[in-house]
Order: sequence, then C-alpha cells, then structure tokens
Amino acid sequence: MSRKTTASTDPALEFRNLNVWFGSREHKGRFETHTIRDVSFAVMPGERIGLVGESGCGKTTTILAAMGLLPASADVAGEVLLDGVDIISKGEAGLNPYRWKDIAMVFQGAMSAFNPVKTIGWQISEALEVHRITSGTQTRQRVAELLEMVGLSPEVAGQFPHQLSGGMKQRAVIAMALSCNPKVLLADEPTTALDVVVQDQILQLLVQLSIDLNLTLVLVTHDLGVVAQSCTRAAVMLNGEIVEDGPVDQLYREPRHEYTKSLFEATPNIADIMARPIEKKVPKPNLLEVRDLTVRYGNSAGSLSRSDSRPAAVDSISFSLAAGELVALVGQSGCGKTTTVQAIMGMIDVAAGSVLVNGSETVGIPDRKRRPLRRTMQMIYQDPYEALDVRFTVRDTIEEPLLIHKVGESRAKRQEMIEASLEEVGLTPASRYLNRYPHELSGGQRQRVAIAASIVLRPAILLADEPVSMLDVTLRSGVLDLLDELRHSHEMGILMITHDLSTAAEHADRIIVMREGKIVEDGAPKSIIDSPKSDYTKLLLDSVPSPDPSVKRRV
Amino acid sequence: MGRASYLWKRTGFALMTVFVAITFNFILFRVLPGSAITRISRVPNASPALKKALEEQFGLDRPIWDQYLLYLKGLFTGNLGISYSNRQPVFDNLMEAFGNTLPMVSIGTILAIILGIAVGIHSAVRRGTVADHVSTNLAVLFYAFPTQFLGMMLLILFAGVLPSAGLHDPFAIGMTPWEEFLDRAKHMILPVLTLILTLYAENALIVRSSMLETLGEDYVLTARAKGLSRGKIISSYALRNAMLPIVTMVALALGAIVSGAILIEVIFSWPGIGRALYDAVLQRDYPMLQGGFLIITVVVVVLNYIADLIYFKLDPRVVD
Repeated sequence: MSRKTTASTDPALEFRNLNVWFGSREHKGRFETHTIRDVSFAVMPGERIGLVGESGCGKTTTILAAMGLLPASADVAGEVLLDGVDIISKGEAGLNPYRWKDIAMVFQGAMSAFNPVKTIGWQISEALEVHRITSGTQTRQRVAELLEMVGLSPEVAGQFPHQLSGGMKQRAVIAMALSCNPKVLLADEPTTALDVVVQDQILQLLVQLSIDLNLTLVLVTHDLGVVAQSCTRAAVMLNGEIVEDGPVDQLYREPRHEYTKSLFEATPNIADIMARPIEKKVPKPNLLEVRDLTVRYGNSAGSLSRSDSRPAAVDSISFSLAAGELVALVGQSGCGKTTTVQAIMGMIDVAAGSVLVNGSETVGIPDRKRRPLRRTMQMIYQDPYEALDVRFTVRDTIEEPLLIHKVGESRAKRQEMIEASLEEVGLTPASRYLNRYPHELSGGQRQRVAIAASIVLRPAILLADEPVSMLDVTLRSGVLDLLDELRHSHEMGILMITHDLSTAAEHADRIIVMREGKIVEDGAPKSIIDSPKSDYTKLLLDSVPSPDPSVKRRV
Repeated sequence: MGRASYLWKRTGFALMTVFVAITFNFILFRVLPGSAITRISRVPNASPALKKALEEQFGLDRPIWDQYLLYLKGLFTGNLGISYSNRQPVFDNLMEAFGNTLPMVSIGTILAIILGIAVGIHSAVRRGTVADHVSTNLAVLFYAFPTQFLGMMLLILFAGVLPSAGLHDPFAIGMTPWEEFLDRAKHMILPVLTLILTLYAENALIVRSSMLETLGEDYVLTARAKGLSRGKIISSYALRNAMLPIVTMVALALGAIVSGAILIEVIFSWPGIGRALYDAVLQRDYPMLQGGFLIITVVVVVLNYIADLIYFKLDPRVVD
C-alpha cells in the first residue's frame, strides 16, 4: 500500500503479515495470546516511520520480532524482508549475520543498554570487531569517529556507563548502533526516560543522522509529539494491529480511524491552549505560602558552620497556593521541584525560610505537632505501581489514613467515607473495587485509588508529584480532569510537579518554572507561553514536541 | 583518587576487624565463670601458695592492662601460649593442624565453586527445561543436607572401597614418594567429596538466580542484537555481571566453610584445625581454643578482604 505512494526504489525494510503468539504453560494445556495480528508495512531507504500506540499494543513486540529477540515462548509467523530477503525464516542462526551490520537497534532503557562493567569504547569496539569491520588501531579511530558523530568527545571511550549522564549515554548507544553502518535502525522509545530538553536534542540527532547516512529509521513511541516532530510517516497500532498508516500530516489533520483521533485529542498541544479564553478568577485566601525556602544537599548531621557550604538544592524560593488553585511546578529533572515538595511536607530538613500552612509556620515544629498538619496536606506519587501496598486491598489502602488520624468513629462510618471517596475518583460502583488488590487494577485505576486514599481525609492541599507521567496518554486526561474537578468541588489547592510544560499549560492556573533550585518564571500559562521572559522557559517551550507536524519541522 | 581511597578504606577496615577480634578473644576468656587458676590448675585442692605461684607464672597477678599488653606482645611474636593437653606451643600445634586442613578445604572449596558456577550457568541458560529442574532440585536437596549426615552416608557407602579415616595409611612403611602421594590423595577423596557436595549446591543456586537476573537485563538484549555469539554473551555480559553478587556470597560463605570443616574433620578423623578445636573443647584446652578462634577469625577477615579486592577489580562502580 505505502509502496505505491513512494515507490521508485524497493523498501529497505518490509513487514509482511507478521503474527506473534505468546504461549504460556501456566494453564493446563497451551494457552496462547495473539499479540500481533497481520502487521504489514514497508519503509523506504532513508524514510523515518513512527510506530505509535499505547503500552501493550504490540509496537515493541513488532520490532523485537524483526531482530529475532522475542523470548522462547513467542511463536512468530510471517516475513520480515530486509532489502527483499526474508531474515527471520531461518531462525537465530540465519538472523545473526544481519544483526547490527544491516539492522541495528536502540533500546528503551538507555540507562541499562550498556554492560556496566565495561568501558563505552570496549563495547563499541566489540561490535566492530565481531563483525570484522575494523581491527586494531583502525577500531580505535572508528570509535572516536563514531563518538564525534553523535556529539561526544572521543575521551568518552575510556569511561564506564555509570560515569555518563542519561543524554550522553543515549548518544553513546546511538554511536554503538551505527558502528557497523546499518541500513535500518530500530529505536524503541529512545527518549522516554530523558528530559524534554535532552529528548529534543536526541531526536534532532536521530533525524540528522538518518538524513546524512540515508538511514531507515523505525521509531517506536507512545508520544505523538515525538513522531510528529521526527518522522515522515506513522503507523498507529491498537491491540496488535495497525489501524492507520500514513504521512504524519495526514494523520494529524484528517485521522481516519477513531483511535488515532482520540490519541491526538489526549495529547496536549500548546497551540490549542493559547487559543482558549482565560477565565477570570476571584482571589481566594492562600492555603500555602512558601517564603525564601532553602534546602541543601547532604544530611544536616554535620556541624552548623559546615552546613552553609553545602550546595543548595532549593535556593530561596517563594510562592503561594490559594484555595481552589492548581499550580504547576515545571522543570527538568534535578531542578529541585521534588525537593521543594518534600520540604513542604516536612520530610526533609529545611536550611532556611518558612512554609506557612493556613497561615501558621511549619518549619522546625516538632513531629508531634506536624501530625495533624498531615491531615490538611496529602500527597500523590508518580508511580501508581509502587505507591500502593501490594498486600493491601483497595479498602485497606483507603482506610489506613482514616485509622491513623482517628477519623470516622465506627466501621460503618469509615466504610461510608471510603465508598464516597472511591465514587469521587470515578471508581463506581465502589463495592466492585473495595476488595481488589493492586494487581487486579489497571495503571489508571491504581492512580485513582492512590488519589482516593489522599482525598479521603478531605485535605485542603494536595501535592501531586508527576501524577500522570507513568500513565498512557488516554488515561492521563482522565486523571488530570479528576484533579481539576476536585479543586473546583472541594476548593482544594493542588500543587502539581511535572516536567511536561504542555500538561501544565493545559490544566494549571499558574505555572512556576524552576531551574537549578531557583524560580525563573512564575505566571499564568498564557502569559508564559505567549511571552516567556527567561531564555530557559523559551528553551523548555521550544523542546516540547508538538503533535502538529507543521509547527516545527526539523528537516 | 577514589580508587586509592577505596583500597585504603578496605585495608583499614580489615585491620580494624582483626584488632577488634583479637581484643574480644582476650576479653572472652577472662569473663568466663571461675578464676583462671581454678580452671587451669588440674589440682582440685591446690594450696594458696601453689595458686599464687601459678598466677605469677602466667602473669595473672598483674593489672588487666598489663595482661592485655603482654597478650598483644605475645601475639606479635607468635607466642599463643602452651597447650594444656600436649604441653607444646599452641602456635606450633595450630600450624601443623592448619597445614593438614588447608589442602583438603581449599581443594574442596575451589572444586565446589567451579562445580557450582558450572551447574548454575547451565540451569540458568536452560531455564525451565528438564535439565534445569533436575539440577535445581538436586542442588536444593544437597543444600538441605546437614554436613554430618552427608558425611556419614558417604562413609557407609564407600567404607572399604576408599580409606575412611586419617591423613594417610599409618601402617604403610617404605613407600616411594609417588605411592605416598597416591595414598594421601585417596584419603582425601571422601572428605573433599563431602565438602564439595555441601558447598556446591549453595553456589549453584546463587549463580543460577544471579545469572537469570542478568540475562534479563537490557544490556544482554543489546548484546544479542549486536550479533554476538551465545558463549560471548554468557561470559562477558551475563556471567561477568552475575559474578558481583557471587563474589560477595562466596566471601560471606567462607566463614561457614571453617565450621563445615570441623564436622568433616571429626567424621573422617582428619587431624586438621577443625578437629584440633573439637578436641580442645572436649579437653578444656583454653589456650588452644583461643589461638584457634584467632586464626579462624584472621583467615575469614583476610578472605573477605581478598573478596573486596576482587570486587574492586570486577566492578568499576564501587568507587563512585
């Protein structure tokens, strides 16, 4: 199908009726799930295609099948043609000569793609020497060349993986993937673990390399913005099938499939936010006031005189949070946003400044007095998979805060409160969920349970640390809408940490941009996006990949 | 800079541990109930004059600090006192026993480590197959056997075929060096076999789970995608990283080897350090016990120190 559109040459990589079944012997007899159903698509030399879909849709399985890297429990049928030759028909032995030389891969976990006990140079050289591309001093030269190509200094060759930052490591992974001049590069979520600014740099690098080397790129991602900004074509996957395939412009402007449309709708777009009218707000009393808050690294057990020389993780920041307000704290990892929230919760020591909750000072008060405060201030964590105790049912999880704070005198009363909070987070009817364990819930449901446990005490302030970053796009809007609703119906003040400026812009009343422990900008989303005052905010804004391919093309 | 300071720290830590152990050893035998004299004098109704003479002889009439310094001075000159039972210097007794133990325990331990690693790798890469189930269950079985039970079972099975007691044949006279070597080797088979069987299982299980963990890592997947051979992936990726916990576990298990050797030496009448301590306990030979504990402690600390050094060599991350 796509061959007709661009067909002057033959495709570099083609999938023909790929099917994958996963068997499991846990049940009596053989129980199989059909994970990939008749996936067919072709990629031309030098073309960049995005494989998009939510977790579990089979996008990673598809490309692992092309590399022959699926576990032994998988049955594969169909063809994967590389320059017209089926590479998967002859099993591992037939595939091995093609690996890395013709088709290479960049894996999802940039952090763990390298063997931790060998140097970067050793691992790149190994690829070169195994495939007899170079040997001896030639290898050393080629490694240096490759590292320079991805924007790293040749000295990196002598370093161990743990000595590099995430972005540098991902660059080194790309250098290793390109070491044998492959024709096709498969990249599985190459930027998911990275910061938005670094993500942008890596995507630009991949696009540039694909143009310079006429490299065919298959980019697997859940982020439509990433695809729109770096690919020419995209295939949308749902439940193991490709539901739509076409140029990125066409997918964005006139999606044919319902699912494609819903994916785009769930992806926040800064351009849409700017078009929205601003609602006028009546000023409300401040629930939380942070004044000149400073937190330093390291523990404070040392002597006082030394403590002042420790670097500041949070450097005298001030802001406030009013009732019914949603404030987003935005910044790259390591900018001090999580530290700020921990300091507000009183979980780490504060070096200087004050945190006023409902007008009363909470810095330096004894733990005994902090206890009642925790009722007014609750937290929602990033990872719904780790935030819930796996041995607690939903009821136990939500009841625990009630028992700790001795709220609800009788069992029946508590039961009422638990059910009410479950209904509020949209888990209805509550009785269906009460006795479930976390593993019986989906990611979105888990996060809702975590939120239910936080709001059951009716806190005035909710601190949310990246509440949606671990969730699929279509689940994100649900959780964010829920937070929106809570602040309107209960006048809660919500402080939300996020690295994603577009999410912040869509939901927050106010955005605070942090960098290296300092606040660089504080204002309404519209004013920050329309007229960012600091260069850093501009850089952040610039790095957010827009789902609209025409917004910024890097080609 | 970081590497040097790591080495200094480990060395200092090892020396400190030995020193603390030495001190404990001194205190331990002084807080035991009964005065030292009533314990050492085998004369039930010794006259006060005799007691006083004995106290003077052993320096027990001096202040505790003097005794401690005397004890340290003795240690540094290799003087661990005199054994009550055979009136020989403790140091000489221990060295002789240690010389007998070392070949048997080290051969057994090394073979057990090799066998354990081989079996562990084998079942990890063939996870879920019949071979894996058999070897894993067998390892669990041997792991569960108490040393003394396994030793006696082997004794019953092989008595008559293989020599069952002692270092060598006490009645053989006029053997050539080669015949003597063979005789000693034959005597070693049963105790070494017992040691291997009790030790390999634990190693095999640790290696298996550690290998399974590293085989699931992203870098192993990357290595496969790179087109590396299976052997290379297992040796330089999976095993190389699996070695880190293995080294730690083996080092921790070394302390247990000494106690395992005690049981084995008693069963097979092996005149080594384990049996020397066993006899010392039975005969209330305190200087022997004190010296034996000390040597065991020092050996364990030294082996752990070596493990630290190996770890340092294996894992570039320990420093940062």
